[in-house]
Amino acid sequence: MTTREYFLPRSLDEAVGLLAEHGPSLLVMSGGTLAMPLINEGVSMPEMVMGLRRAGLSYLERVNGSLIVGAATTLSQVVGFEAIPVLQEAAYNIGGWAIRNMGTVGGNLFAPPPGGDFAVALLALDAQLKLVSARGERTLPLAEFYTGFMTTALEPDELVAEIRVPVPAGRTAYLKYGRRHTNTPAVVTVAAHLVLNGKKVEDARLALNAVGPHPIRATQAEALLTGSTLDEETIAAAAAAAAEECEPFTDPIASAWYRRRMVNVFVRRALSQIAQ
Amino acid sequence: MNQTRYVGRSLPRLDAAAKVTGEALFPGDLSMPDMAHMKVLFAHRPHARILRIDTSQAEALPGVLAVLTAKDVPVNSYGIAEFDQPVLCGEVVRFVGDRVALVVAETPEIARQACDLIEVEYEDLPVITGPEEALAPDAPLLHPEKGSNVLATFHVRKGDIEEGFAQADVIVEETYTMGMQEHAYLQPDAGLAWVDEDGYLVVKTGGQWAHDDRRQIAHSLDLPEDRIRVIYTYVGGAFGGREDVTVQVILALAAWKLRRPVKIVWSREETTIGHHKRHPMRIRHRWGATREGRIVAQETEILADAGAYASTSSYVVASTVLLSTGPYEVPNLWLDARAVYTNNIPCGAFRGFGVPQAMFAAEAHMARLADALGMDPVELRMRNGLEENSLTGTMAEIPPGLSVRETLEAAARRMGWELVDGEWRRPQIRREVRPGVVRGIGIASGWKNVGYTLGYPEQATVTVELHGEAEVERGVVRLATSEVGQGTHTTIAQMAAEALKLPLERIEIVYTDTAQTHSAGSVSASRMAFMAGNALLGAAREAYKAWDDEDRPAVATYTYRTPPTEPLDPETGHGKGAFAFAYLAQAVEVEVDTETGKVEVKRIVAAHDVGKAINPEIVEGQIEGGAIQALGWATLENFVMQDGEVLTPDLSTYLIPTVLDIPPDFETLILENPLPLGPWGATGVGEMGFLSIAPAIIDAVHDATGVWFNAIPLTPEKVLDRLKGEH
Ligand SMILES: Cc1cc2nc3c(=O)[nH]c(=O)nc-3n(C[C@H](O)[C@H](O)[C@H](O)COP(=O)(O)OP(=O)(O)OC[C@H]3O[C@@H](n4cnc5c(N)ncnc54)[C@H](O)[C@@H]3O)c2cc1C
Repeated sequence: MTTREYFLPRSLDEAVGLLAEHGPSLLVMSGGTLAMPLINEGVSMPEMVMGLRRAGLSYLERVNGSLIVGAATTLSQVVGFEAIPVLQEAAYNIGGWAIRNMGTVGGNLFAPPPGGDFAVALLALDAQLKLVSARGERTLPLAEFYTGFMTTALEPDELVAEIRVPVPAGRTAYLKYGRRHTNTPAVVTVAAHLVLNGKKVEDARLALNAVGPHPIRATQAEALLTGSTLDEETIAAAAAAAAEECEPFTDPIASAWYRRRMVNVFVRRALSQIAQ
Repeated sequence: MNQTRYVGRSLPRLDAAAKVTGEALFPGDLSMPDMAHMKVLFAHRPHARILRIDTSQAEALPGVLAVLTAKDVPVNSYGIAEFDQPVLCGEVVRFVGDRVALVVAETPEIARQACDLIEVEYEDLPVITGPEEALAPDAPLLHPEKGSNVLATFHVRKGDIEEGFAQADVIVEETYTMGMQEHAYLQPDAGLAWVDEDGYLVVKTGGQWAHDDRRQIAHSLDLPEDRIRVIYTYVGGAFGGREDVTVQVILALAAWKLRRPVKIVWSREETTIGHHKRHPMRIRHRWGATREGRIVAQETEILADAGAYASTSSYVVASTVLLSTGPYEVPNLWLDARAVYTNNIPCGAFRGFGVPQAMFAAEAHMARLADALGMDPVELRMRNGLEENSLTGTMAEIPPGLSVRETLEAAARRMGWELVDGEWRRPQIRREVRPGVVRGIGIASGWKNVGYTLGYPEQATVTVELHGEAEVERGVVRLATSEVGQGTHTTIAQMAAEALKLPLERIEIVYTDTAQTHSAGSVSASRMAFMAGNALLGAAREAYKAWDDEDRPAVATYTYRTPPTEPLDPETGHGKGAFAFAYLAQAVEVEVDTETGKVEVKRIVAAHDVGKAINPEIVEGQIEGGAIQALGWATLENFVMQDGEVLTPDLSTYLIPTVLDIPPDFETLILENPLPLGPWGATGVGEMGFLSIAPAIIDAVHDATGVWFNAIPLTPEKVLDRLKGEH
């Protein structure tokens, strides 16, 4: 069976209308960097495809202390938009230029691990998702979006329309560790956001990618950090806690054993960077 | 030295403009009106008996033109060295990439869908996942008619090994292992075949030896070779990976049966399982030396995983054997080597053809031996390097063109080694780069044969035409060599212009088309510039003779043959295995992150004696490319086969170096000691850049960390595991 129809809606309304009409037999495609290889390989043979390129979902705006990002905004657009440096950094760390020119922010939320290197930064920054369907819209914190390996809280008739990222109040760090310098699957990716008062941690967000079924928050480590003084001892304890609580897997890039060890190393490096 | 007009100049690549503008056609770009599309049903299981194949549902799908299985193949076997691989398996499948059926349909999508509709009932058989298992007394036989899982065996006996060890003050024994390597050439396998209006079967594709593709097609289809025409387009990389046929025979079969043009384009995954790999090997070395650093004995055992079929394994492992001593004088040698069938992907040619494995083990072992002797590794190599009157491990004389010490000295000096009181000394460098990161430097020598070895006939034929009346106005050259990205067409054009004494613009070269060219042998074994250059010189000479005899046009076809080589004696291993060797030394600087185990190469110095650089920039490109591919083999590339299944079938899981993984500081030192046999003195360079990077990295990592590693790839987790274990 080959693809029968390709829709290119001109607005979000039109897009969610098509989704409501055709249901799950309609494959949503944003940048297509995840979806197209599957179609080319014959792994997925969708009857109908809807592209989001023209649906008016590609924009970046600063609104009252937040960055608003349309779901179909490409990673390259993010790299070039100077609002939140840690997001530029995260976007730059995905794939190579060809992938960044096509791949989108919305699509990254659906990348199975070790993908999700942009989403992990969004998680550390407490991003909120705007989910839209023909029935209406709702807002969901990204932390509540993921429900399991390749499953999310998105309803079948919903689209991710927009992501709202509060400009970080504290200091941030983003470290992606891969086996090569660029265009590399993650062994582990760490994104951290710490609100400090002097050396005291008032609030901590620590998110990890490639060591769980989806980008995850290291909540034990966050708890350990909050209220503590950000010294070597605290950093070491938080790194150890994150290594303990993550759920690494084995793939040809790295073993679970190694990933867990690298969580310890890279959480420590990320926090030390913030402490400096 | 005579003045040359074209030889020795870095002319821009003649294929560059067509490639960057997209004008150059690769096999996947070909199309014809009315062409059909083919898809292969691969076994996707490592070892099984086929009980039943039902193609009826696939055949019934609208748009399907034919479903071909074993019964449709006239002579159901092919192979470069032995006809041992079924074109389509009818009884047993022996590795995941074995082919079971072909579907030809009006569109690629229909062909793919029809593949899913073919029902194959298998009975799984026990899987042999590695050579050790294959050698177990009760192991099932993969090719029962051969009576054993051992595909090839070699023995070399030189001198008296007991006596040799008796003279040794120091004996070092280690076992080295190397993983499988995928060529990862840019262009997935593809091609187009049709029967032309004169009834010839034409196959247009990319490969490394069109005339041998034709031989194999003729065999499988039971057709005379002159009914078949193989034409090559530009080829998107090869590295030895296109020496064996991939799509050629099945395309020919389908086009011949259907009398319709048939096209196939493999995906990356299909390409990965569909063609051979570099042999994983285990090499045990036990070497003895006197306190003065004289090697007195070498005992060696080599075990290679050949995979499911013969491919070129017996020649590859013979090359490992031939070069196994490193470029050193070893008076007493005892060596046993085996290549063994397993249910892994067949292994065959890959840049260096078994010699990188030999160099890795020999040169890493030299570093270990130097360490055990408390001697500098350059000093140890200088003391043992081959001399003009040395005999190789297989008791052959050294052909002229020896430069083991010159290349070593060049690389060593550049990396900071110094002669202090008559002895070489490694430079003292600061170990710590920053907290947790240490630095080290290492070096290794290398040598490799140029061209075919071991008695395989080594020849190349070229035709030259000189056109004009009173004066030669233009030349035509017919030469079957494929441009696989290495720059051969530019090198050949420069040599042709020089040999024909004509401006480059007035020479037309007809490349690989079996209907228009004779065989020049494969584009492999670092041989083509050397062979084609000599053949061009001979053909030009003959053509000018004909010109002087008033022939218009003056045409000459000339076959250049190298001095003969011999197979190794089955009992003693003695024999003149090669007619020429090239020499090199490579030095590296590495940084090791002791918290992550990551090894990064920061600097490479590569010193190569190339005899004569026909086009220095192309020579440099070959050396750099080879070195980076070796850097991948040594540190990054991790081809994982588990129970006969491939876990790294794509380039998101099988990681090769990217441009940012190339060391920022890469220096190539080109030495030019003319090779007496070589055209304008040139020797081969295509594989040489690969040879000694891996052992140099081992030396450098030891220099940085104090820990020796015997296995590659040096994945960070393996490194970390050892570092933490030892500290
Ligand atoms: C060579 C290569 C390298 C890569 N490297 C990385 C890397 O380093 N790090 C990394 O994280 N990822 C990587 N990826 C994965 C991928 O490219 C990125 O994750 C990218 O952000 C995906 O976005 P996309 O728009 O292309 O996704 P698409 O392919 O368009 O989308 C995938 C699926 O997500 C769903 N979807 C997408 N957008 C929406 C929406 N707005 N609403 C509802 N559903 C939606 C759909 O189901 C869709 O089919 C790589 C991919 C490739 C091919």
